[in-house]
Amino acid sequence: MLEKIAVTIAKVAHCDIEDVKPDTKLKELGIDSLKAISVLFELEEVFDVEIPNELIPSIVTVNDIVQKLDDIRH
Amino acid sequence: MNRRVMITGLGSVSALGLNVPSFWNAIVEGRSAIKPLDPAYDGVKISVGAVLPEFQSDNYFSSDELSLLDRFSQLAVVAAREAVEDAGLSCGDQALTDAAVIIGSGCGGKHTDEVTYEKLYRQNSSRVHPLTIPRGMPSAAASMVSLHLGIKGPAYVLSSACASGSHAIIQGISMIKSGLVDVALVGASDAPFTYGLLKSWDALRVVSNDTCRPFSKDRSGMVLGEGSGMLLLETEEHAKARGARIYAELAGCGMTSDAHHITRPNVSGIIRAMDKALLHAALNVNEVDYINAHGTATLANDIAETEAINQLFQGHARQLAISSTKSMHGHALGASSALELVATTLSIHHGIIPPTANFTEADELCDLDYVPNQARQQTISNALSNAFAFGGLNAVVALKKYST
Repeated sequence: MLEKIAVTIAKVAHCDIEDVKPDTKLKELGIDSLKAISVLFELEEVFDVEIPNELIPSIVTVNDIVQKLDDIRH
Repeated sequence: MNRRVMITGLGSVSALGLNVPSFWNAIVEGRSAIKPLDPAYDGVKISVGAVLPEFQSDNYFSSDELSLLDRFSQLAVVAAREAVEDAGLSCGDQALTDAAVIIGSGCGGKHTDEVTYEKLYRQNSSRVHPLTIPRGMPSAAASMVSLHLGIKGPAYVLSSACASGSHAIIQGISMIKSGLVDVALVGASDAPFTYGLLKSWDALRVVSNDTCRPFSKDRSGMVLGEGSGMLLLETEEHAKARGARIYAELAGCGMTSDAHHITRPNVSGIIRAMDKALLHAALNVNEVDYINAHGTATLANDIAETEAINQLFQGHARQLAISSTKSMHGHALGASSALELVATTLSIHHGIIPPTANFTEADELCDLDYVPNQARQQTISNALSNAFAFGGLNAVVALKKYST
């Protein structure tokens, strides 16, 4: 799942996939609040899930996304 | 306080080309950009249009920037950049920072709406792109021009259908004359080639499937176009202080509404708008050399506009040169009048009157000199640019050759 998430983030943020690691902060990849919404939109499409708004403030790192998606899917 | 308003920068993106030199060259050659739509739209009767030639968005914007730019905003920013550069200004200059940016648009972010509705209604998706609102909102063009050029003065979009560009320009004139700002970037942008909008124009039955032949006996309606026209305006004092080139003076304007009919033109409303523009610019009817007509090539417009010119200008009507550049750049809705203002400004600057292209045979009800098919070299001291929108919203701008 991490790889799929990394591919999606790299695509939206136009960054090198090698830079997308579990403990990387989204801000370090140039993802501001507006771009973060686009990342979540793409992830919803890729994983066919809905990420509730209330989870968004707690997403800081790539690993946070992995955890949240894992929780949502199970 | 008489603050005279000068035009010192021009920008244009249209089917005639992606910058002002290509736009003006085509107009001088009388070359029409109207072509069969390629690809054609399935189920749409409209088969011709004036579409931008080879516009590659990524030549102008990064992919991050594009995620926030509907096509109409892209065109606005490209034309605005050209007008600012043409005026010898750049992002960060105090004159630009303090400027106003007023943009007209007849239909706003239709491309964004189209993608959204297709996803929802045709693909039955439950999600839409998260940037749909900021990209598609009608005011986005002003926001994006402000953002890309570092303009921090008053900024907004206004809408009055096919007169949007002229109303935006008049708003800029008013702001400068009243002392609110010294510099204003004004113009309009529209990108109407979407399936939904074409179907809607189809239904109205005013679009030609041949070409746009304003004032000709065999005219068959308007032809849609897309594009953006932008003008950099500033006070005479401001322009002189920085040694700017002055193309022409925006000497006056007239605005009226018909209170008559939602689509049909009204001769008296047109006359009153032209008359007010002349009065505002302190011009007599016999001082006008050229009128860039609204000239849509619909049966109703061309007769009403001709009758209005005849009634207002009386004997001088036959001395006037009148042309419709829509025959070349198409009817780019709100952007049309801004493109026409660019054309009229250059007519005065170069002393060349644009032709009415595609002209075939005179109509007995359109009995004036429409400069058929060939541009004409002639000094123009004073000109009018006409715009008459659906809903009876009329805006006329008077331009003068600059003299101290």
